[in-house]
Amino acid sequence: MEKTEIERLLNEIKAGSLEQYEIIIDHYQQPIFTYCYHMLGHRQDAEDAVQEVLFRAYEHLGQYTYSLSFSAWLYRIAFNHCANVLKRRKLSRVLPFLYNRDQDGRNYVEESIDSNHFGEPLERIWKRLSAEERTLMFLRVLEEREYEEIAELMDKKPATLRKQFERVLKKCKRYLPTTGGVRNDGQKSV
Amino acid sequence: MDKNPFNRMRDMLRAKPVPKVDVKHKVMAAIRAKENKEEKIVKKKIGLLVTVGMLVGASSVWAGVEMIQLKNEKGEVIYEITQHTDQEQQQLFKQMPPEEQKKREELNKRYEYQDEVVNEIIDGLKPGTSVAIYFKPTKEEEERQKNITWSRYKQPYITMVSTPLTYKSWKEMEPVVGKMFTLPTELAGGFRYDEGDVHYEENYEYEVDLEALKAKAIKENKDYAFTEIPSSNKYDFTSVAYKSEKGKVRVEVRIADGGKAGTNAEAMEKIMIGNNEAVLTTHTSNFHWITWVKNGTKLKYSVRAGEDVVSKDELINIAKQINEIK
Repeated sequence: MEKTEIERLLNEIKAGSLEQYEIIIDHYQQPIFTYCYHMLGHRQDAEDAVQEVLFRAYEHLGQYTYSLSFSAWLYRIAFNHCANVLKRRKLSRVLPFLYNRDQDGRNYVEESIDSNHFGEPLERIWKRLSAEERTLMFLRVLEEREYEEIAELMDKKPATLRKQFERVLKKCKRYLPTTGGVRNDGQKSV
Repeated sequence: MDKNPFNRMRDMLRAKPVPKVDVKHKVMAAIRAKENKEEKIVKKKIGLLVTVGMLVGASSVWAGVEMIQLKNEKGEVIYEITQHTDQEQQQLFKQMPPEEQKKREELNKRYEYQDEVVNEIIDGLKPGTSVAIYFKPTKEEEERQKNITWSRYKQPYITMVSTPLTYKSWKEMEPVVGKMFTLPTELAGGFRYDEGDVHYEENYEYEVDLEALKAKAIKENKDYAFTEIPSSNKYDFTSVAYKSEKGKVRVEVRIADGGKAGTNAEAMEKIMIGNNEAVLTTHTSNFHWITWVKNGTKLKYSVRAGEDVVSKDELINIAKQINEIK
């Protein structure tokens, strides 16, 4: 969708034409879902996330100032949401008594996430990446976006991102399986 | 194997299929529910309400009254409910001139007396029976009658009442109403079908022998008399009680007439039951009541229960369960 078309729609929505927001949802729901799906590694969580992101975006539409693209603004909301979800999950590991457990005392939130989405070895790598690193990998590797574009979205300088990405790649390389089925850190990958 | 970590990560990420998602309806419903909640319409002028459901049109006062309109999927208003709390009604009553207050009090006493008589008659009727009751009019009623140009009842001073048909299970009730709707045998939370009534409209078309009833009242030295009349077969509503150890939940299904209603609820809010706009009212005696017109039907559903029996959220879930049944 063209920038001018999006701006026209946003102006109409701000003026009270709520049904125009359906067009916005149609256009952005799948890309935002894909992002959340990769961030959270869990279908239901990602679906909840995309709903939350699009709902919050509508609620705070008055705060969107066109200084960055609408797409980047949505991704920022999605990033904040996913980062919070990941933070809660991390807390649930540290403070398990505060979070849901099944009858056997296992933290089912964390387990369902890890077993539903990524298989080995991606899961092993992904679990070691922070929310920001996952975002960077998603946008750079999967979506093949330019640093300038990612910089707008992540509110960082392109050069900083380039260096960060190199470090993340090295981190990934460490946990990628070798041909012999033994990881670079000497542990068996399977 | 490609040793470039970029390519390997890309291949792994691409190999993971991403499901398709469609959350448009959910997001829009959430937005609309929030918008509607914030935009309860405030109407300025109202007809005076002395007793809930009893509109006395002679006077009017200025007051801020909340009203909720329910719309169907086409955006048409299908139900309108106006809130007049008991407190508001009392305030309005106090604002009236003393002579008007006295009139209203007498009128209320008259209605209370007639209610007692009607209830006594109903108690003695078999299920599925209809009667026409004649009440000897007071002088004020005779005066008022002169100004009435239209009434549902064809004849003056006649009240028609009927007793419903009762069914002990959904299996028994289904042949009667099953073509119109389906109700569950059990509601979420372990509430099982306990007892259900099917009510039919009063037989407004039937004309009774008014003179014979007047003579009967004189003969029996009463100010009322009644006679059995044929029942109407025009469906009015179904009311089913579901029961668990905690208490009862009542479900009703009526023909949606696009009408308006008044409530003395303490609070009311618009919520969504599936794709349907619904109104949730909270009453002083701590119970919640949800009403909605199911999209694509002419049926108005309602479900109510005390807070001690089910919470508000549980009641919403029950409403959703009922709404989802085809």
